[in-house]
Amino acid sequence: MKNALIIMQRELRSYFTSTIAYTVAAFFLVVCGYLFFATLKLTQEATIRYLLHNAAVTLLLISPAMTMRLIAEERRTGTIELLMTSPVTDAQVIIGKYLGSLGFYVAMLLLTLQYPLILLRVGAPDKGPMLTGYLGLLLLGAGFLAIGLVASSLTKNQIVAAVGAFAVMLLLWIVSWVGSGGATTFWSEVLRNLSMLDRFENFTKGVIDTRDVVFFLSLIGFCLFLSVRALSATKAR
Amino acid sequence: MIEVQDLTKYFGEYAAIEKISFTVEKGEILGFLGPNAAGKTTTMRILTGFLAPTSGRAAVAGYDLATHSLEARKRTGYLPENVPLYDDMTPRAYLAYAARLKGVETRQVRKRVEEVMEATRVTDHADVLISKISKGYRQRVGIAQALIHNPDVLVLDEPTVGLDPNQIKEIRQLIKGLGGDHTIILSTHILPEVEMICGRVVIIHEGRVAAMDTPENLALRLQHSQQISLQVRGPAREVQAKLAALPGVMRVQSIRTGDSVVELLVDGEEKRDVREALAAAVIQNGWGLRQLATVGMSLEEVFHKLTAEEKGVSA
Repeated sequence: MKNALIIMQRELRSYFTSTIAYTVAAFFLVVCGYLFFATLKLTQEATIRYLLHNAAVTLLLISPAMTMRLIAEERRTGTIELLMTSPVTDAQVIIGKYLGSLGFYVAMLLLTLQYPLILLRVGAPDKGPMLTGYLGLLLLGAGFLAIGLVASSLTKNQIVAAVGAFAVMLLLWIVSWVGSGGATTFWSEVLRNLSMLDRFENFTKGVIDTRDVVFFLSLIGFCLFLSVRALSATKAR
Repeated sequence: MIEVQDLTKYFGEYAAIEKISFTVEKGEILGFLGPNAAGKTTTMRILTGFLAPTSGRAAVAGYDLATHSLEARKRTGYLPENVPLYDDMTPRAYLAYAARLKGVETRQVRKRVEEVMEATRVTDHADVLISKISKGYRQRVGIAQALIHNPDVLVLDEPTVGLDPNQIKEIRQLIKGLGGDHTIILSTHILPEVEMICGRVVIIHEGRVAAMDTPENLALRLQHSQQISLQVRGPAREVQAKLAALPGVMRVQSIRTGDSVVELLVDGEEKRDVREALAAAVIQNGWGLRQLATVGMSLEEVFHKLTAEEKGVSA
């Protein structure tokens, strides 16, 4: 664990000195701020449900930019040789990298807490859905980052990593559309269960369904496993 | 300290190295010599745990890379050909990171960083971003990184490549000073470097070990005949005839004939040292022996020979 933390620290540090990270964070915060204002003005409702939804879509767009660097950059510059010849396991490298990106995401998320705080001051919003909504957004983002990490660990090209991650996320986002409408069949059920959007929606409604939590956690676990395998494969190449 | 046995690595169909075997004793500096794409980097990457071999065995400090990779890596410092630096860090921060990654105790980190920066002389650029420092400094930070956890074994892949002559000299001195305490494998395609630094050389060519010996012996072994340059004060013709008649002497050429001094080049038979016989003959005849020296083949020629011979005429 100590080794993973060392790698995480460097990763976080590198986020906070990189232009990409600041651009991404600025983009996310500006869009969230605008959407908060716009939806509040339009609906006059003291809820962050709309904000959470729009934040999720924004996240879908920008999270590949947060993760594309993680392993791909190490491969491109050759620093991967330092990592993989140091006495740390591949799993420690992946976990460290993942925690680093998660740390940056959480920092970004914390900055959006001002909106619920504003609502709490000026109105009387329902606190439950706000909390579950944020938990949902955290899990969703964590899932996105894990997918992005897999993509980044497969290539040395950051663009490929970003596009690949985005494609997978978008597919998992809209995968239930095929099965919606029409009769409920086995396959429509399977696809609906894979949809990140549907899972996330439950959280914004104030529902914490264990299945949803398990879904995101297993998605993350599976992605980290794939990333470790991809990294180890470099050795046997 | 390092054992390599029948190491083979295929990249697809292509054999990067095939059945490479050698050992390195504690404190020894071993030179790994070969042209580009000979398999030097692949071998080093296997030794440092970056690549897994297709077959064969490699062990560092008694730990097999296949089964105890982490233990072996703990004891190895590695400078890859492409120095693994993070441009967004300063040397000081980078070395502290490397130290912690390699398991230096937290309390010792700062001290170790100062020590290796002192040893590799990067202290004056310790707080400049790595993206802004020169190639020479980058290389030195790379070596500092390899040294940071005071490893038993150092694996240095082309440590002097891309440096200017002064920097090369400094780095060579630094490496030479590290021998004894550390066991070092160093790869290069620059021959004088091997002659200057290494106690033993492995010449690797097209993925195989072509020769392995001390630089001196290697030169000796490859000489088909021993050549000796001689300066004698005496009658040129008589000197030449008398010396040519000695047993073991194949040919005597006169290079220059001065007033009373003659300069000769003597070819001796393979593996037979005729120097003493020559000296005795000159003295016995009452001539003056001015100079007697072997004309050794430089490793450069050896190397050229080793790597060009197989190609034969087509080369």
